[in-house]
Formats: sequence, structure tokens, C-alpha cells
Amino acid sequence: MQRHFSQVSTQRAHHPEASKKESVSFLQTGSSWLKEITIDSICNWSLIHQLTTELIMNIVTHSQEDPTTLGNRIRLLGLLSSTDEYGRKISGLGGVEKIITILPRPFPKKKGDHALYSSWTQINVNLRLTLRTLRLLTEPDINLHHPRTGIGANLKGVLGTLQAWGRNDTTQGLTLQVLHNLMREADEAHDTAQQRPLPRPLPRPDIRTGETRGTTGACYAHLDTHIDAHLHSTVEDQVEPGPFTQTQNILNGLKTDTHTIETVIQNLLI
Amino acid sequence: MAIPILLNSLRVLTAGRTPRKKVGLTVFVQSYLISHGSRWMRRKAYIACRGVQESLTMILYDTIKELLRNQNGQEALHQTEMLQAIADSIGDTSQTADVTIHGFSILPQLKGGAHSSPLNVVIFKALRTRWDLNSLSPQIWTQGYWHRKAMYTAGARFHPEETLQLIYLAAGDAKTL
Repeated sequence: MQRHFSQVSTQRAHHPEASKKESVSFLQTGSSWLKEITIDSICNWSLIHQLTTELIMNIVTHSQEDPTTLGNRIRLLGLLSSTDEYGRKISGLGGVEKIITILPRPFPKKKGDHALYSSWTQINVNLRLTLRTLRLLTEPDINLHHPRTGIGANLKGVLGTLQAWGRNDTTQGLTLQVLHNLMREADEAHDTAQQRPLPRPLPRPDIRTGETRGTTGACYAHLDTHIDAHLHSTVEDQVEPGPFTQTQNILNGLKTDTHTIETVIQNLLI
Repeated sequence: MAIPILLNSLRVLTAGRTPRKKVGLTVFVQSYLISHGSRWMRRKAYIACRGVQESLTMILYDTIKELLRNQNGQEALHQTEMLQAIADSIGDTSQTADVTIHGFSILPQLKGGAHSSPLNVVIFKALRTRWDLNSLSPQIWTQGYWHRKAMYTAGARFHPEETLQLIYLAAGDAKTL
């Protein structure tokens, strides 16, 4: 489509709005074609991965203006990620980090008119697709050969989504599964550096209000700077539990609360 | 009587020839659609040949859709020769985008299914040819997708070559084609 885009742009240089609209339309339809072909047969996945995955990874962060295109692309990445082979390749391309950057942060306060409501619904669907893709890409088997850095930033990004969008049971369950996978990654990295017993449990956040109780709120604000440092610290360095450990305990508490939700989701996916 | 006329008409209107070369069109218009001796209409057909061609094609497509509603029409239109004529007509890139899109709307109503059916790849071919000619508009690209999806839902699976080319087109890697 790129060649055609340039031609359209030249022809419509005096109508930038029309040119932009056409480009959006081309991209949207192209993503729809790819989605259909991906769903049609697993035999197509090799070529689709070969020709489109890197392209999609590079432009996925720029397609948030059009929820339909974003949804098609995330669905495609999710399907490809469901296989170990392509999942590892996508992970190796920085898929987790890139996808986390498109997680929505603010929660729309008003549903408003129909158009806004449709958009809100699409955003919700996209969020679930994104979280499912992230869950696949953070599975231990996928990340065997791609140990990640910046786990703190990843955790913070997903926690932000949990706080903003965790009111929905499905989203909440998916987010927790991603968090669980990310924490397991951190755990594995941590275990290679040192063996350390878990500290005492900490107060749990109220995910329905998005607020935290006690001292746990502080960990959200500094996760990105402290967690990776924690992975390389020694036992003697830590008199008080660090944010990494705090997050782990928060997650353990949340997992208990949402066990039922996860079970329901898993049953639905079978 | 109607089906052979339809078949001949599509052949006359199709094949990507310029209007001037479509000598059969005049004969067709004079034979079936214009009263003999109506010089004004004949002159109009010559002057606005493109417009006549477009209008006739649209009418023929509508006629095909009407014929598909009855059993006799169904049988006649599903003969290989007729399907090929329809496919050639829709793939004719000398037609305007509106006519091509109108032609797409016939396809989901016809029974495709088998890989050998010329209808299964007609949308892809129309898209690809327009791409090569730099005349692929967002409307054709989008309508092609929706009608092909409707055909797919009705049982017309993607042809391997079609899949390959569509992936290339959608991926924007036209240089490797």
C-alpha cells in the first residue's frame, strides 16, 4: 500500500484531510484482509509472519487513532503469538514492550452518545485482545530465549491498566494473568541472583476503586526504577521489602481474589 | 432468449478495449436497445459511448441479480461460459470504480466454492490489476474486501495464489510482487 499511499498523497496534496482519510481507509481494509487470511488457515501464517509481523510491530503504536485497524493488528499478533515459533519471534522483536505501550491508561468517564459508546466498546475489545496477546507472549515457554530487561517498566504499565480498567472482570483476570507472568519472569531472574524467602504479606489494594491502602501505593510510583535494581541487589542490601517484593505480595493477594474469574475465563477459552 | 443476449452483451462490453474499439457495442445498442432509425440515439451513443457503456453494464448487472432470483436464471447463469463472461466483465479495468463495485455485489449471490470457479479470484484480480495501473481506490479496496468476505462466508475459500497476492498487497510490499 505504501506505493499507493505516496501516489494518493501526491494527487491530493491540496486536500490533506482527504488524503489522510484515504490512507486510514487503506490501512483499515489491509488489516482486515490480513485478519481474514490469518483466520482462514494456519498454512498462511508463515508468509504473514515473514511479510507483516515486523511491519505491524513498527506501526502498531501509531494506529491507535483507528480502533478497528488496531484491533485487527492485535488480533493478528495474538493469533501468531499462540504458536511457540512465532510467539518467540515476536517476543524477540520486543513485542511485549511495544504492546505494553499501547495499553490504554485513562478510563473514559462518560459513555455519552452512540458513536462514543461504539468506540468505547471497541477500545474494550481491543484491550482484551491486547492482554490476551501479552499473556501469550509472557508465557515461560515463549520467553525461554528472550530474557527481558526493564521488567519494572513493564509491570508499571500493566499495573496502570489494572488500576484504570480493572473494573471489568474479564479485563481484570487477563491483566492479573499478565502480571503473574511478568512477576514469574522477575522471580526467575531474581532466583538466579539469590535465594531469598518471601517477606511478610502487605496490605492489598482495592482494584475496584483503583486506590491502594497502606504503604503499597508507593510501589506503583517507583516500580520502574526500583524493580530492576532489586533484581541485581543482594540480601544484605534490603532491610525493608522493596517494591518488587511488595508488588509480588500485592499480586498474590489479587490472585486469590480473582481465582474464580481466571477459572471462568479459562473455561471460556477451552 | 434473455440469457444469450445477456452473455453477448457482457462480452461486447468487456475485454478492456477502448470504447472506440468496441465495435460490437454499436451493433448491440442498435439491435436491442435503440429503435432502428433513431438517429438521435445512435449519435448520442457514439458521443457518450463511455456513459452508455457504464449505464448498460450497470443495467446488465442488475438484470443478472434479478435472474438469480428464479430457478431458470440460476441454472443458466451458472454455466461455465456465463460465469466466465461475468468474471471478465467485472475484471474489465476500463470500467469506472462504481461499475466494478456494482459488479462485486453479484458475486456473493452466485455459487462459487470450487477453486476452479473463475468467480473465486475475480475480486483479487480486479484489485491487483487496478493496483498495477495505480487506479486502486479506497472504495474498491474496501468493497472488494466486504464482498470477498461475503463469498468466503458462503463457502468460497481463498485460492492459494489469491492468498499470496493479497498478503503482499496488504503488507505493502508491492516491489516484491
